[in-house]
Amino acid sequence: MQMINLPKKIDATGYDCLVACIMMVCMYWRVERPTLGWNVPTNLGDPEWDKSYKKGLSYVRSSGLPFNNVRRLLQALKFPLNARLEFLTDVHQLEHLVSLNTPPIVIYDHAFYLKGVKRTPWHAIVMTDKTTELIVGIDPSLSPKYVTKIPETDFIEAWKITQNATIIMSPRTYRIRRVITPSETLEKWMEKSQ
Amino acid sequence: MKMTLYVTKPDNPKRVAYERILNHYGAGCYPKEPQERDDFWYVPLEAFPPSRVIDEKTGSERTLTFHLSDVGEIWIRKSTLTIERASSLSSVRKNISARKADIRRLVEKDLIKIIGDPQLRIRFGKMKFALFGLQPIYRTVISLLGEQYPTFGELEQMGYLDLANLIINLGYASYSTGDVKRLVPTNKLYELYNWIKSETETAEAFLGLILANYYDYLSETMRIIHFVPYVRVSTSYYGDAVQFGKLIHLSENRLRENAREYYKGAPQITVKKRFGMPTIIKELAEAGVLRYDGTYITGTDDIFQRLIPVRDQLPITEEPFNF
Repeated sequence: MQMINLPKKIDATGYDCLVACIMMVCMYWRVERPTLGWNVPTNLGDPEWDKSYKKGLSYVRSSGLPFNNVRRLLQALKFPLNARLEFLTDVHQLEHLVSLNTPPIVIYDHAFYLKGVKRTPWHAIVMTDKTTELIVGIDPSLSPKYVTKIPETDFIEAWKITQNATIIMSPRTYRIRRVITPSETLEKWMEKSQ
Repeated sequence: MKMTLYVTKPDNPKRVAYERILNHYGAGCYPKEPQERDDFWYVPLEAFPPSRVIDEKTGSERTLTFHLSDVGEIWIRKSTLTIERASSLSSVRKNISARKADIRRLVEKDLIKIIGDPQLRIRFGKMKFALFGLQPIYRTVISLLGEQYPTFGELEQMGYLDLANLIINLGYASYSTGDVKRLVPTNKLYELYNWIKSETETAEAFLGLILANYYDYLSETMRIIHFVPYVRVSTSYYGDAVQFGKLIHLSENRLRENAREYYKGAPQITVKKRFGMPTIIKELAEAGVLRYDGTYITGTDDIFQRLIPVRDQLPITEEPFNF
């Protein structure tokens, strides 16, 4: 599997991390698929990009950035991309996306990963690679290096808390077939919660 | 390009709640354990909004999270595992604002009580616009110390009665019992004067006592709001300092931004527009509530040390960490 290289990293903390991830993935597609009919320049340092990022920040609410607003943002920016929020079955799906050069934005409980305490705001990073033991990603809060390497077993636990929530952004021409599988039977879930 | 993805089915209440949260509210909301309520699963929501505090002089930064409970709810029908009803984004936001306002009030109340303590010798007279609104009290105290005792009729005629009653309630004056009812000072006022040894400073200290005891009454019931911008700016500074855990340094712009953010959703005070932040900050510094460190604004150690215990009451994470 080849590692995905994000052409530009954006420094952000708190609720802004998701906007930063979205914008970094948009920039990635701008460079990877230059012929999609973009209305922003290839030069990622252009003020237009900064304007787009600031517009993204304006969609953040006091409860975070609702995914519905991510869709609205992409529409408002007229970017030739689709975004979907999916609850993936397992980490192999992430690996699959990376192998198809589609960087997934994973939403996980960072506080749980760091301290074992379940707490929002959940954190977002762009996954760029997976080794046998590590999930490698770009974390907007880790400027200036940005690269984060999370042990897979820890990541799985922290990601499970958000039900494996993942945002997938891809060119509109991409067709994604969803195979829906049970997350957990209701009986099993009830047994656990008793 | 075609790809196949394996995704999970929303087949348990928690999974349904998470989908709702991420789609409609954002990653700052957290579902509590679903509870059974007849035909439904009831999922209460909490929020953990981050709060970033920066010391601009040192460049150090801390991100803390507030824990706000009951900011929304989701009802899921058991039979279909579909959402029957759920809080709207606007009501979740409103509840988050309300919980944040509670926290703000907590700091604000303690801060007013602290700066109102005559021992700190805050010069309320330097806050010119605040003084303007409380002029009747200031003048009454000055006149009492100058042995000019206004009659009940005079106070009524001047429209000072309500505010004079506050002086009486605090035990610093009372009405005489002679033929003509006059407002006279009590020993408590003389004790304060003997300690401070200046009529004007005693009157200023007394304004602090009035604010410490009647802030809500004055601003909400009597609609005397002249001192509100001063309190807001002070609270915006000390609120951040308390979160950070030490006195911090902020630029004027940053403090202005803080005040705007801190009081987002609170009724706006038009006075702020008329008088402007620079004047308010300067007067707060002259009064001794804030102080300048070069071009930065910081607080005073006396106020901070008294205020810091409020930190234990704030629903913030004990150990700050960066996201």
